Amino acid sequence: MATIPVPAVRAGRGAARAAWFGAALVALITAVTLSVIVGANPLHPGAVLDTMFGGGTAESRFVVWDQRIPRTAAGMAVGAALGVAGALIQAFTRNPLADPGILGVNAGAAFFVAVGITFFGVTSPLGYVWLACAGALLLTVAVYAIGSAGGQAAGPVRLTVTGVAIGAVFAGLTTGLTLTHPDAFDRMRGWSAGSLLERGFDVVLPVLPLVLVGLALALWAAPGLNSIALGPDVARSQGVNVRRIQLVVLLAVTLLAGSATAVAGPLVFVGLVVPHVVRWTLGTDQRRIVLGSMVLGPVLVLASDVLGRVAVLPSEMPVGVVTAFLGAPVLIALVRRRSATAL
Amino acid sequence: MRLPSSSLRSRGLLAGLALPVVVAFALTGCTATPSSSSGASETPSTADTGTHLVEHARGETEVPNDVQRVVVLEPVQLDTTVALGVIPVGAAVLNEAAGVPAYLGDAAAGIATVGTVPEPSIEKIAALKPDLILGTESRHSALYDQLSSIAPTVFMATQTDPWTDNVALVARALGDEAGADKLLAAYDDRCAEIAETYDTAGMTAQFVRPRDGILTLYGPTSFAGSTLECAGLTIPERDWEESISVDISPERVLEAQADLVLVSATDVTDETLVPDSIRTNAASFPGLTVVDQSFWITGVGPLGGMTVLDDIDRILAGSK
Amino acid sequence: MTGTVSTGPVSTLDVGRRRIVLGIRGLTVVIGLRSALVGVLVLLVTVFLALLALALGDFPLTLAEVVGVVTGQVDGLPRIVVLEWRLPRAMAAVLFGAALAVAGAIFQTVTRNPLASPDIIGLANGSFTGMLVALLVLGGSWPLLTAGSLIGGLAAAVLIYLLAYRGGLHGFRFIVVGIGISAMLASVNTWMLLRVELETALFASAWGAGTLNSVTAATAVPAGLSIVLLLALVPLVAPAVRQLDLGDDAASATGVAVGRARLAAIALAVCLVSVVTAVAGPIAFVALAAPQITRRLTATPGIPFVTTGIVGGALLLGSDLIAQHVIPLTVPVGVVTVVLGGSYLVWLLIHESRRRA
Repeated sequence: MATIPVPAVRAGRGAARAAWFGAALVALITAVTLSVIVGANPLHPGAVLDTMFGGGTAESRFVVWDQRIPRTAAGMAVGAALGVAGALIQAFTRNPLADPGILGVNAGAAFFVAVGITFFGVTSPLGYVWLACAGALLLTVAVYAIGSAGGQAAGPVRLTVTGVAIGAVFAGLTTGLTLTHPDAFDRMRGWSAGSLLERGFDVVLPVLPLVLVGLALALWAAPGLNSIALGPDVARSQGVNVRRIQLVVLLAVTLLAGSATAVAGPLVFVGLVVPHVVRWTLGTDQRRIVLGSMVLGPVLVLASDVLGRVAVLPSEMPVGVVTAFLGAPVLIALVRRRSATAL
Repeated sequence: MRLPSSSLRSRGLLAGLALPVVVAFALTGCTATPSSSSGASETPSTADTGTHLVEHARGETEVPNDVQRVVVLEPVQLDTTVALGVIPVGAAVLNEAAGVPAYLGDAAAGIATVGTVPEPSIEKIAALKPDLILGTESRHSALYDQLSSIAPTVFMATQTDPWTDNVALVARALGDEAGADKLLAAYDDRCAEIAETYDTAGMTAQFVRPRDGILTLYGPTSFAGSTLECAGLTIPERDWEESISVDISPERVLEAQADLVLVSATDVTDETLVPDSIRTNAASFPGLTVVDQSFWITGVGPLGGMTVLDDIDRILAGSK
Repeated sequence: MTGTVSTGPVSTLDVGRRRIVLGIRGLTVVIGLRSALVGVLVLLVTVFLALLALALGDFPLTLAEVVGVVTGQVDGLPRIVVLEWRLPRAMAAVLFGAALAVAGAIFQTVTRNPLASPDIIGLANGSFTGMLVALLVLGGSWPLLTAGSLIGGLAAAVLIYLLAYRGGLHGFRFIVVGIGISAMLASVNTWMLLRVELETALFASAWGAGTLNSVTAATAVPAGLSIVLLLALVPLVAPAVRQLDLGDDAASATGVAVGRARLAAIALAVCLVSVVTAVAGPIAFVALAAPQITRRLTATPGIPFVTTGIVGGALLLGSDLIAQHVIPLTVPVGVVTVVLGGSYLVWLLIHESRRRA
């Protein structure tokens, strides 16, 4: 497993860092603007602007206020949550290939949603949200409990293996359940693709507090993670309470990844790619990585969503399908550019 | 340093393993029965042999004249056989947990399930001792040889062909072509009756299936669409991309407008199954009705067609 | 040929476990005793399971009839059921399981990572993509599906190799490219599954989970023979792979052409997995779990290939029996292997931590 080495800081100077954040913010604003202006319905930008300030037809009001603006808000929340969750999990496991799903968040959410659809007739995204949240939380707790069995605190490697194993079991159960219940399969294949359709404010607002708490915890734990990156012993000698930071990080990841999956379904690749890009361009200071992921995550999600709206007119491609197509080439290009084998 | 020579042991063991395996496979090859159906002579049907020759997607098969125990592997075949009065002894269903669709009525309730439509169970079929098996080339092609060794097997080409053609093939296999003609004539008559009673000329209708926000509009070549048009309604023009249906984004929900808008659902009494995009724009969808997915989409066949027409009748009567 | 069998160390080197030494005309064969015992035991279990597979099924057959078929006395439909339907499926289960287990063992030894499995290099997703394209675009007859799956899987592996190769094959870059390509292919698969009608999506997904439901003699025989041939090649790479297990430096010091050996071994593993996937779809977890289970059963530091193969065969056959006869609805065998394999892994984790505590 590659570890995060002593930083070969690229954007070492303060000015360069400020420039990076400036560019990222510009990218974010562009993404948000595009998300409101561009869509499957060929509405003129002028009409969009008009609608935003009170005018417009019934159709344009529906498109802008019922579809695009809630979607943009959901995309921002989901993107920030996943980006930061990814940064945290990669720092925690010291494994740049970790994504927030390794703690079983996705598998737990999917299983609970499948059970809800099959046995309790749940059909709306709002219903999915609560099921997915419950599933994500319960499974993460199970992973942590089993990973800590035997009395010692769960180390990153142990947690990863446990998460993979338990996640696989529940993924298998979900598959078995949906393959034997065609109606549930039909709904799950839509949910599993990861989508922002029909995610209005009524779906996002309930989980927003969880996301905000998660982000706050992440920012609080980031300095400690810098020390832990040098090794737990070094961290302790610097006065960092390693155990507490680890618990806080796990809680933050659960809240963030669980909420994001609850809203949009599994969008795993975001949590994997965004922290990588941030780390390669901004350096290895965890505080900056967390902040950078908070800004870049929404950019990836919104950009993917916008692309999905226009790629297969008159239909739409779900955002989960597009994120891999946008993120993977970036990832591959970056890893090919660097001659080093680690980061 | 001497390496542990597990390699030599491996070679020995592998040879030991390989030999019986090869022998076993050779055995299965030798015992494979010829793939053609039983009694595959080229003689045309005669009253003496009690069989008739049926031409189908996999060639020609001699089928007994008086079929008593038929197993069907495709919904349209199930529908047609029940409609013709030959209740199958076994059927492959779309939903194993739910069994045979309810719209087929009490006569069909006792049919045994032989697995799912994509993956039927050969052994269950064999255990029923059928004298005719009906399947689909596009789905069950790999199973033809095994099925033929149980009973004469007739395959239709694909499930996307016009269902009236497949009804005719099933009728031919059962030796009851007149029955099929009667069924299809009854269907057309019912269509004409509805068109006349409600003066549907010029009325537009759109069948919509919501899927997680995306709206699937069904066109004139689909089962639901062709039935609507048979009853004299018109499906609004659009580019169907040579497919039975087209997906549209919810932002374009107004493209689904029509005099009569039918939204499919698994539970017609559940109002929340109507997608948000349509409910929010309720003013643009005055003629909205929720219909049952189990026969509007998957009830392909004569009985399903009549059930759909009954539904159209009920809806048009209610909207008067 | 004369042979002597004696237990005890053959030299003054004590490796800490008992071994059997076979001397055949000057050649000495050393076998781990426990490894051999485990292998024989599991082989017996496999034979028992195979007999169960022949006897159980939805077509009712008495034990007398089954015995009659095997001895050649009973003919007609029972003979077809046992020899043409059940036997190919059982033999396929054993061989496919062995192929996957050995491939997993090779992967885990070469990468020195107990969690390595051929899935990370995009084989599973790639073959699924190939199969979906064959199904949806080209018409979907069975030979087309098999070809599509083979081509898709191998194309994915080659693509990853090409993109990751930059003056050498570095593990990290290889894995990252593998994850990237895998994710893209998974998205393509998701998109295609969303667009087709429900029954086709169900059929494709069942295949995607790994299923033996569509295995017939026609598909099992060529696949089985290919696997036997490939497995016969394993002894050629096994010694080099064992040396790689000790580390690249130790390996090249003992004369192993590290780069080439690694490539050959992985290529062999890829071929094994591709053959299985072409017929039965990507069956998960056997490649991951079987080597680990074997290692723990035989208590060896490395992974004994032959025993692993036998264990893998038993695992898949057992899982198929459970999928067919224990679960009331039709589920693909891949679902059973995932649930069982994952549960076993979880149990191991709890068990090992308790022992250490």
